[in-house]
Amino acid sequence: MGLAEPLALSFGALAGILLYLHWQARRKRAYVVPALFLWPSEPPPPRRHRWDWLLLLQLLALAALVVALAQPFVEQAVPRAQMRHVLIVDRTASMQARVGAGTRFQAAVAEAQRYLAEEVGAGDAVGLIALGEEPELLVPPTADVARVSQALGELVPYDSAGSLAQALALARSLQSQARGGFRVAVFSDFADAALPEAALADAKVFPVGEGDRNLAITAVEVHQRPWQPARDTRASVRVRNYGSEPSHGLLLAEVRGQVVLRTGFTLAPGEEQSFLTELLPGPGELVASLVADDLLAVDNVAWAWVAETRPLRVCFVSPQTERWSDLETLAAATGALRWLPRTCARNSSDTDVFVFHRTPPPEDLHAPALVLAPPPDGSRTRGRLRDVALAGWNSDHPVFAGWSPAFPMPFAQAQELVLPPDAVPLLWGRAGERTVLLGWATERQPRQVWLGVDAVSESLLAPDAFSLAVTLLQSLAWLDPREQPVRSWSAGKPFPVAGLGGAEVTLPDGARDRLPQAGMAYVPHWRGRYEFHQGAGSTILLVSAYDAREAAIAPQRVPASLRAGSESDGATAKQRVDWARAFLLAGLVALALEAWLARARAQERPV
Amino acid sequence: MWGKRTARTPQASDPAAPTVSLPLSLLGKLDRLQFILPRPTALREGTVRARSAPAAHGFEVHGYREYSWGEDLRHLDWNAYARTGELFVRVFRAERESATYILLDTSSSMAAPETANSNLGFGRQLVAALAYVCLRRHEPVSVALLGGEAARCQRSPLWRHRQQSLEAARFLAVARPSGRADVAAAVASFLDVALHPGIAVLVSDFFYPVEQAARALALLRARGFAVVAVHLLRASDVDPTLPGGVVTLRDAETGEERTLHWNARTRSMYRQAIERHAQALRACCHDQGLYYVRVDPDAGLEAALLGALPQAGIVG
Repeated sequence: MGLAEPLALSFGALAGILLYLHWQARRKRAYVVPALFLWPSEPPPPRRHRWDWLLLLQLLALAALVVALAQPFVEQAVPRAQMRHVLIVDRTASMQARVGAGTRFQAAVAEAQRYLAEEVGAGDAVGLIALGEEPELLVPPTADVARVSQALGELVPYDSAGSLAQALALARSLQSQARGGFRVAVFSDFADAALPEAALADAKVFPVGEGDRNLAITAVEVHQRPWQPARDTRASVRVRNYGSEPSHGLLLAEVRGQVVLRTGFTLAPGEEQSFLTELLPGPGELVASLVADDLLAVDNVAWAWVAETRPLRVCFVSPQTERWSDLETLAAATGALRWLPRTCARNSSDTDVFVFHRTPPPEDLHAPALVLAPPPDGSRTRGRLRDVALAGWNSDHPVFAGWSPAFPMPFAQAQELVLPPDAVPLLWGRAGERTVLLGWATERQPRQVWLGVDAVSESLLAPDAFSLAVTLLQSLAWLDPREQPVRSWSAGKPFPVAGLGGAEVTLPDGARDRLPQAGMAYVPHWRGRYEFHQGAGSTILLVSAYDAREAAIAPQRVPASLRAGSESDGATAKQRVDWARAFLLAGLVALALEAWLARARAQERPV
Repeated sequence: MWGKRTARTPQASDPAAPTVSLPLSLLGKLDRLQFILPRPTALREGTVRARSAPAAHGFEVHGYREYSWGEDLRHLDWNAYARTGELFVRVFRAERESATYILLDTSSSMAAPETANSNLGFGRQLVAALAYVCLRRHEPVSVALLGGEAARCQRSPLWRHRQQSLEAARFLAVARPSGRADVAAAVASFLDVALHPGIAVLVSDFFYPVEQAARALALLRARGFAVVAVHLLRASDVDPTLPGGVVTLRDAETGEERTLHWNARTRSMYRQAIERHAQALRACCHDQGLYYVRVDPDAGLEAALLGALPQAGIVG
């Protein structure tokens, strides 16, 4: 038997008031008479203690009402109907934190197995949801407990984050199909900063894990400009202490097996520090690793890629060459552009990117092209404009990623473009009251960027033309067909695979997978090296666990009311029987009886 | 003037002083009343038409007798001598002063139980009415309050004039119940000073042993007073209403408590005891030649003044 509101028992102190009033009333029963000598001196016969039934009834009524306020309940083991259990097992990165001799994830799986053995009764249905970056229904509700147990045994933790709220929502969606009882059991370390307590209200939770000692690499950044040689590149590694106590560690960084950074450090709780290295030996994988006595090892290793570079060969095709000197100056400034001779148009084999100025690109062009101020043809352009002000740019496109252009406004002259079906807009301008398209880009191979701005006619070297020059260079970098085959990525972050349909994927553990033909994104669940093989080409993904939500491994305090009891067994269910009404009724009956008895005594004829 | 005027005695000129009020309708009836019991007289001449021995001087001619040698020649009736030639002297009956002393018991038992019309309240009204009866006829009257721990007897001056009725009422208004009833000692204290013979009316509930009451009454009688014992006894005192069962009784004067089982048997025992007490008191008074009147305060003041007291030959 339990009490839902035990504090209400404090009202029992009112019994003291009742007893005091009763004592006072008994004291007042002495009748004052003029003299005692005329009264019989015969004492009353000795008798046993006489109960004051009125007081007893009052105390009984008070006790019953106080207990009713405390909302007593009794949990009875009753045979139950078929029940549906949905097990949510946390497989996020923080579950790999060490606890005892194992990990939190192992403890959660063991707890879930115990739940299957002890809490699931015959005929019950069990479903299994894995809590990852997307909740995954591994086993729909089924009476085959062995299948669920097997799925639990095969479950492996991810190196990414997840949302408990989404997993709970998925579990709730299974409740509507349940005919009998329904229960959600959550096996997690509850390290989410925002614990969905409302969603957890009816769930049974099995918290695992403790401690918050964790050092994590939060980023490995390679500061390499386009076409910048690897030896001139710098790299930085950021490390953060997510624990509540100062932590010491040793940071190592290697490129092609050569140590480029080795440093020890001490970080205060919550402190983050960046370590820089400029001693990169050349292109290759940059591997940063932490040596520290912390609980979570997933975020102690991270990868980045130092790209191999060589100058971009650009073929410039234009009927006008009066600004040629500016372009040459720009190429010399970058140190990574090489303008090909004017005859390059006839021999395109040495050309990486074409630049067509006031010249339409040929239809059978097989190389990427940057088209500047194309001539009006009615289909791709709509006409020449003057004094066009810049209205906006596509900041989501790689050409404008990481910087904000500040164009001279207005442009002296520009060409209004027509957006092709497979292209995305890059630039918008405003001519009078009209918004016009000034640039677009297409991913269709070979890539093309069209800019209606006559960039060559503008003064590229003027101080206020910096943004235009950067736009040209960024466009050329994006058009570079020698796209780096290695990318750095974060675990759990969808990787766009629009051009990799059907590609074979080699996972970090050596396992192989195949992308669907129409897949748009691939989510790497674990850290490490992913290789996408399609035909002769391949793309490499270096995935690191950078999620701060998982690096903060301190378990949240789970309300005691949500913690699972272990008193039930599989064949019976604990049914809470509310006794508050019964006690309330008993109290009212006692009050009514007391009132009746008091009235009867009042009407009792005196002798 | 005899007696000692105490500081608590209210002044007649004080309009704000509390007073004992009597119904106006009753005052008209009291005007026709007077004490009719035989009373001893004092040597002092007064207005009370009390019989005294024939004397040689006075206002009312009682008769004639023959002159004896040596008598004062001023008393000779020369007109009779002229008519008869015999020497006769006139004999007069003098009007002597006879005071009335009304003693009110103010012990705590007079206020028990605490009701709107307690024995003490009734007693104050009764004493004020009797004082008014006296003063209405310019008969001297004095009131004494018996009881209390500090002063066992608190005496008033001897009032003689009708206008002093209000003063008597105010004197009674300050009477408060206090102390245990030791009426014999209080009466003895009352008799400490020289008093004129007259009527002594003791108003009390007599809730003390008859022996103590007899001793007090005997003291008054020994001083030559015509003694009247007015016994205030309520019907509710004779037959109290108590809830059945075990009850605790507390003595109003001593605070002593007694627990008894109140039932028909104990109720009968109590009634018999109080009736025996009243009979013994009556017998004691009759044996000593005193007047005894039993008055029920619940019956009202008019019933006592116009019923019980006249029937006992006290007033008429």
